[in-house]
Amino acid sequence: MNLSEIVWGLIGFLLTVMVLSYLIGDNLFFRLAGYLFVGVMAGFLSVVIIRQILWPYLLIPLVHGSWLERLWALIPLGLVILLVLGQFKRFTGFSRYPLAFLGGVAAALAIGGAVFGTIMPQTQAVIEIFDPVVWYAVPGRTWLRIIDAVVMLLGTIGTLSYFHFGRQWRAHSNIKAEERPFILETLSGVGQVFIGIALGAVFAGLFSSALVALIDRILSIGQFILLVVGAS
Amino acid sequence: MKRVVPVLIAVLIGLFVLAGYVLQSLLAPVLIMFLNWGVLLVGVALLVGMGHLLVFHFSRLINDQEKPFYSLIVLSAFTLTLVGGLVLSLQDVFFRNLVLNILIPIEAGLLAILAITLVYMSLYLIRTRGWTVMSVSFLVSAIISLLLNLGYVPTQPGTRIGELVAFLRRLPIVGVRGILLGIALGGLLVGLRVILAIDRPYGDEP
Repeated sequence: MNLSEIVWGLIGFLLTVMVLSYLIGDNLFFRLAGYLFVGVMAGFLSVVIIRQILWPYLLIPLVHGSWLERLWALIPLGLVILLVLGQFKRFTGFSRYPLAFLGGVAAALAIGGAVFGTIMPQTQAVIEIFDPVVWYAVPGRTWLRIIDAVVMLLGTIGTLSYFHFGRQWRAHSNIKAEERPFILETLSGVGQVFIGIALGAVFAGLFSSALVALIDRILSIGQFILLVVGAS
Repeated sequence: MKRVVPVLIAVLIGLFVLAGYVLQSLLAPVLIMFLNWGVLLVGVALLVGMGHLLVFHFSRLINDQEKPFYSLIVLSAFTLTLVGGLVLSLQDVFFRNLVLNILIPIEAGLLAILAITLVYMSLYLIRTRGWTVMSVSFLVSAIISLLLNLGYVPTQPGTRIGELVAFLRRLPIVGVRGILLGIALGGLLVGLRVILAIDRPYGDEP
């Protein structure tokens, strides 16, 4: 074990103990580790942004590009300057233009992602389980696959219904404002069960990962102590 | 004019990027350029955010407000990492050791704390919300998922237990699918509102 390994191991050991000390309550060591994390993470992100984004997308075309490339690079340069200038009180309005550009791109990407990335494939998946070819592909227990498909459909519609908060507007209706139509209320009840099941599974996955991390940290502390004891 | 130009930029750029989904081969070069500009602006926006963080800590340090020592740690850690990353490269062994041996133990430690916090919060949820349909299904699903994740339950396809386990594993997908569809519908609506200039997140309410 060389000196470098001992130093880095010691840093990792100390930081782990400092973070885990939160289990006995909020304390100075936990906060120290937290602030150190914020500083290093901010610095690391800045380096990544400068080296992987600013340098190839803006500075290389401006410094090493052809005349045409330099001319095109002036537009993002202008947007960047406006965005930075917008942070000063006197020029607050300047950041509207780069933010409008970002807003337009983000909105279009959100629409495309939602339609082509989620709505179409997920709807397709719900439809496909009703394909008779799938039902009869394997002989026996066809009714089980039909029930399975119905449960999947009911669960999906139920979950969507749970998030439906719209009301039909009736000027002279006796229905109380907080009442939802019966069908929606029933489906949202079914949806609650499926949302609970989904969140429970997510919780189990997250808990397993967190438990693995806890075991890993305890192991790393033990290994470091063993290495130091062994080396001495 | 001040109000019209940002709206025009957002609407035209949005429609152009949307058109790119359909006319991909025709608009690809310009589309890639727009997306690169978008990535660049997001990067600069993040740098601006870091700048605000630094200004906050710097002012706390200068004005000797509460606990300036913590701000000193943030500023010195930031400066050391930034200078190290700019002078050396991202692949440099020393820089990687410096960053990874600080970030990974803290991140893993926080995740480890999460394990204990999650157990506490799940019990707290039952105590405060009571035994509702959702809390019961949540708890039962969590216990069953944890048992299945252990890998001790036999899951050979074709057997009754295997089919039941496969069904139990598929059940959470239904809820997730519904939630995903809900998020997508929400995202679609927000995107349309921005492109139609009903919402203007870049300033100036209509």
